[in-house]
Amino acid sequence: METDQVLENIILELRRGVLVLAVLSQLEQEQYGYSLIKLLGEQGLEIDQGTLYPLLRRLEGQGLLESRWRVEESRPRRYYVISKAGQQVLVQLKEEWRQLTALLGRLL
Amino acid sequence: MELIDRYVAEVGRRLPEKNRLDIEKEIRSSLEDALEDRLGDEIGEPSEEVVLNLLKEMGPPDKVAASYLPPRYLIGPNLYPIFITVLRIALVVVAVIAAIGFGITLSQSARQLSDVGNILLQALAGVWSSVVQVFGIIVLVFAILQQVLPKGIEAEKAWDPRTLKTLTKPELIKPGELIGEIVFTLLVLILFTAYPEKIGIYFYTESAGRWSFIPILTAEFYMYIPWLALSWVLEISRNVLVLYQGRWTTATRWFSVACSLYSLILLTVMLTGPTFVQLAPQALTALPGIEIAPETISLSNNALNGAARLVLGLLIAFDLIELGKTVRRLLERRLNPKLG
Repeated sequence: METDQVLENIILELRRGVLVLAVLSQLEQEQYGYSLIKLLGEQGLEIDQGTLYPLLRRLEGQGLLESRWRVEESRPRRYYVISKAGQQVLVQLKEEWRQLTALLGRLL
Repeated sequence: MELIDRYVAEVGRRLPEKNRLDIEKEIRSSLEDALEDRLGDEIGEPSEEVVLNLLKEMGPPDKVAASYLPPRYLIGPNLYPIFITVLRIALVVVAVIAAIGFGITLSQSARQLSDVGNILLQALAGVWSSVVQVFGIIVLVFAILQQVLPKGIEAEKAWDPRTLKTLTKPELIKPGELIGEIVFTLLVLILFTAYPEKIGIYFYTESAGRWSFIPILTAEFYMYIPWLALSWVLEISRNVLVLYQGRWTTATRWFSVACSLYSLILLTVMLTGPTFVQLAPQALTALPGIEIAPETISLSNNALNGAARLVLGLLIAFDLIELGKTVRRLLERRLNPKLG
């Protein structure tokens, strides 16, 4: 495998790991899929639709998110919001993230 | 918009029925959101180019559908190593049964070399269909296990490093044993190929005051000699090879398996075939001054025959044990490649 390809894969894995944290952090207020993509994009985190939508469902399946359909502008949209359990997890994840960045800051 | 319909349908086709409609609805709604965003203030139907670009960004339907599903296995990584072990054992058993069956058929029906070819072809066809059947059944059983076994149990089991197997070094050879085997096999080879007519019963008759000899190998046995010789040559070459390499390797072990299978076939042919030891009648009549009753001759022949078959039976048992050991070593190596 080419070095570029290896690098790309590692970066992809790294980003995938933090995506959950990013998504949970932005769902204190409810969002539908595309609005969440825009929201993350505005803050500099580009994420594929094909990656985000399955992730949202998975997090809902794990009980970290809640969702409901709402009809707006004559179109149904699925809105996601963080659940109680999700909020608790988010607090711990944030703490973990702080420790990790501090640790890596020392290492790098 | 027809492209979007086709896209959503294509993704949906790959999803389980349970949440297909829901996911389809969500993808469609999200795609429409994205389209609307790209069109901005434009009014009317989006151009095909915009839709094409959007779908390209979304990705191929099979990939999108796959990302909604947990990884699915016919036989998952937890079961796979056991599956391979079971498969190997089963295939060796099939090979042994086939070899013995081939030997029996051969001894009962083949009298010419062309017959042997035909029987071999038939046997190979039979082996192939057995292999496919056995493979199919084992895959089926493991696929069912994969579905019914609770997931993740393996990882949760408490694990104690003290339960690790102690290391053995089965590929270390014993040169003395190997050299002994080579010499013995070589002697047998020379005896049976160069002096088969000297094999028989030697006895001293006091009345004549000299040694007499009765050959015991029949014409049937002479037919087997080239095949036996091949078996011994194979065995000697294997032992020489192992001695030369200084250790057992996967290749020499497989070579051993082949030797054992060949020897099993040959011994089975002999065991189930016609009589090949008998007190030679012309030698009996030529004995100086000795009259042996026909009943005694017949009894002796029966005893000889019985003894010969007993030896064959023991040799077959020995072959099977050797084969079992070799296969076990091969499996151990497979499961623990760091051995040695």
